[in-house]
Amino acid sequence: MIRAEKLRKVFHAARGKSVEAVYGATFSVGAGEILGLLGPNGAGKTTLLRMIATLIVPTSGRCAVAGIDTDDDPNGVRRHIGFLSGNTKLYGRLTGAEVLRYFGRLYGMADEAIAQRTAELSDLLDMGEFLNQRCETLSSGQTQKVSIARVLLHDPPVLILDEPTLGLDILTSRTILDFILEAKNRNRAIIFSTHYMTEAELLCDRVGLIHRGDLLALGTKSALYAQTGTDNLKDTFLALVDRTDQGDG
Amino acid sequence: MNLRTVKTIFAKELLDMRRDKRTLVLMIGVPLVLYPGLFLFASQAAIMQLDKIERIPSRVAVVSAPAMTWSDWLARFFGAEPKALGAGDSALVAWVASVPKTELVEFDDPEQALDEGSLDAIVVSVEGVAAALAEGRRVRVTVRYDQTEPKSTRAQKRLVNGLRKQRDGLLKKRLKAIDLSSDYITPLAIETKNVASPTKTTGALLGAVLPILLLVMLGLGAFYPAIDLTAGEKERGTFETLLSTPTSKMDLVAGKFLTVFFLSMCAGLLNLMSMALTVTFQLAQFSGHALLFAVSLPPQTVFVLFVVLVPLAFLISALMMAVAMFARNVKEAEYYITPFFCLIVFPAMLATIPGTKLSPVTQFVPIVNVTLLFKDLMTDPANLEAVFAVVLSTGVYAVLALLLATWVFQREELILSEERGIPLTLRRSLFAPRTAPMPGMALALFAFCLLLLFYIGSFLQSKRLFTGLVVTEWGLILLPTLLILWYVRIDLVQALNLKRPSLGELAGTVLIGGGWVFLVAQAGVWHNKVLPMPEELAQEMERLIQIDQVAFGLAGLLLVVAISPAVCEEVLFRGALLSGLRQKLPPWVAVLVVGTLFGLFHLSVYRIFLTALSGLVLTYLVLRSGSLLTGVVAHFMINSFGVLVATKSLPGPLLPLLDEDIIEKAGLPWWLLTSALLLFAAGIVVLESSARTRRTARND
Repeated sequence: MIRAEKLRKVFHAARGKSVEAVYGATFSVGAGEILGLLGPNGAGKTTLLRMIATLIVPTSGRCAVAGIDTDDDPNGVRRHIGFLSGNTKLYGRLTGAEVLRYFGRLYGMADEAIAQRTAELSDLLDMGEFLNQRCETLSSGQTQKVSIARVLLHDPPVLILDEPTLGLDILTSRTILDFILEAKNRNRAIIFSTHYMTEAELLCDRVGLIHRGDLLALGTKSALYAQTGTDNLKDTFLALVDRTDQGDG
Repeated sequence: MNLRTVKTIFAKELLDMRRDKRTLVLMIGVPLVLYPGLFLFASQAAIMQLDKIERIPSRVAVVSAPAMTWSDWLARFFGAEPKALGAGDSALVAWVASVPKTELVEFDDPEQALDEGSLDAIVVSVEGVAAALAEGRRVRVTVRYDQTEPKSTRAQKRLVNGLRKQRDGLLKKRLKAIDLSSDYITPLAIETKNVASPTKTTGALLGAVLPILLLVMLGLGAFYPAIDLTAGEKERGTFETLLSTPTSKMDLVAGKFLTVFFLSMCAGLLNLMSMALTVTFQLAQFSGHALLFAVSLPPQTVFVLFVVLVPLAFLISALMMAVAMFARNVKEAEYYITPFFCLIVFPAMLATIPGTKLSPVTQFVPIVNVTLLFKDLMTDPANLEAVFAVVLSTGVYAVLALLLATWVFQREELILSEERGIPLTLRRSLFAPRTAPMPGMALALFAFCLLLLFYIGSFLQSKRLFTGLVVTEWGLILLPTLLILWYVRIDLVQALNLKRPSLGELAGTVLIGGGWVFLVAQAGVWHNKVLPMPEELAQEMERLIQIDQVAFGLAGLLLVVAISPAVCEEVLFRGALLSGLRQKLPPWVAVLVVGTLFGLFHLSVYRIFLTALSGLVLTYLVLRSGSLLTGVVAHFMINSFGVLVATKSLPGPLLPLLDEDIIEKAGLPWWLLTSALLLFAAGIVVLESSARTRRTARND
């Protein structure tokens, strides 16, 4: 469902300096698969995910989602994506139901379809009692539920989740993780980034390790453990980082 | 552009703004409650104060200064104390006592009392007034007062009026003594009378104030929405949510812009209304003076005001949005917009300087032109040409500003960057090579050339038409177009449709062009009936053509008026603009838009319609043939036909048919029109069939 080839992004900072945020990431994610991107803050995870979601344009390389090239038809690509990140907040002055109606319309859904889908999701996520409250009055758990409903509203085949559990309490995190697993069971292709190794161990079919813009390794957990002679992702990651840094030296 | 999406965004943003209490208070509370309230309060207070001053009698002291001899002056010069003031002269005291609403008081030190405000005025004279008058001399009476104190000023006025009455009485007595009438010493009675109607007087007053007020109100209306919908959305972290939807940037900008524009208009109109009501109410208070302040604007003027208000609100909203987009949060946006606000009010203030008028140059200066037009409208009926120029140029600036906003919106580094400052670069190497300019860029290019034409082209042409035209076409249209396209790395051959047309396409073009020149001549006759060109304008054009024909000959005239526009304008319109717009618009819409813009480009309300019609035909030609050359050929045919008619150099048999005076009266003969129509239709058939052949050949 997602196919990225040598995706590369260079940012031009002030005074002519440029920063290579991501270089040459190649990978794919199939339906019913969860790919986890692991890496410290500033490793390039967000940039990579934003390129797939067509929020930013890659400097070079190609990417296709559901068979549509991100260069050719970014709107078409976004139609097939549900995108959730720490920066995809909700309109505080609107109620949950209004937010969902707004986004449903932006996804080109008919009003009846939006109403029906909202009712479904409201049951599924147990949002009945707060859906008609303004988002600014909701707790963080409730807000996150509305956000998930927003992502699932148009029933996208691909989910892109950028650090979806960052800064959330354990209960809310569990809601998110449950929803990711549920989506996998419904045959969605999911790519998500995190720097919580335990989450990745729990959920991912395959794991990609990113460090300083470079996709160091990509594979199933067992393959990665075997490659580095470790038995958990944290040690795997540290081993790979050390290896690269020595290589640089 | 997806209208449903734009509507969805507009509706949501309005709802969002409506729920924001700050906006409501600022937009509705301020104009409707606070500001008329304050105005009323201030004027009521002023009235009460005036009334009080009017009622309270002035406290006046009368003193006499001893007559000064020259030795006194000398002594004072060397620092001696001035002689003490004596009690008031009895005659003067009697006069002052008879002045209405004055009250004589005595102070040891009247000067100090005046300074402290316990005394309102001092009347000073020499001693022995009665004696001096009896001798027929003149007596100097000085009223000392403090101009910064309203009470003191009031006392001064009362005293001067009262003393003048005394003076007139004394004068009458003296004249009577020598048996003269008072007319004798005022041989000329000089009067002034203001002939301006009360409406005009108020109009001039309003004309100076209204534009600035409106500008500020429109700006205030746009201020918060512009920030809230851009920087506010960034700050609250909802921007990325919005950008992750399948909505094009154009639709996003359009929806948000419409909201800002709508609110700006609302604020402008609300303020206008509330101001009108306040003023009317105020005037009712001065019922005695009502005639002086008659406010009556004819409905046409109000309509024109509204027509001009629309592009102005459009311009301000678009500019504010573009500026606010650069900011990362609300506070930063406020920092950016506040100085910008002053920047737009300043030109408006310049325009209120007495004597500044709409001129061929000022009518294209943004903001200034609207202000000047308002000023004119308040005193005179609307002048169609001026309104057109102002609305058109403001519209162009507004579209430019909107394009700027769209462009900013498309810069990911501005939308998603958390970096400090404005990370923006225009380095050529960063532009991706393209086969055609983006639609926004094509429009911006058009607007840019239009501005060059406004400022430089019109000026040059007014100095010397012939040279001006050449410089305009090659230097202000062709050169910037090519340079900009090159800089942003557009493939010139593809973007400008530089390809050889097939023989069939060329033949079709010549047929279409040949028929069209007659059809458009007939359209011109009808057009002239509906919207006759002013005599002076027509004569002026004719005169210039004749001068230049004498100077450069027919060949030179054809080169300047036919060949160079055919090349340069085609590169801009049927090259850059068409290839840019074609990507987003269905073909017939692109033809309409390019044709209309081509008409607008000729900057005259009398030429828009006809040039736009020709523009449609030219655009159609290039769109169908895919070759710029067809446009160039037909454009050349149209323009050179015009030159041949105007200079009466058509070949023999056509000459009498197309004599301007005859055409003017009767139009073209029916058989000629029919043949032209057939020619035109035949051309379309030939062009369509050869274009189809080419397409099938390519598909195979």
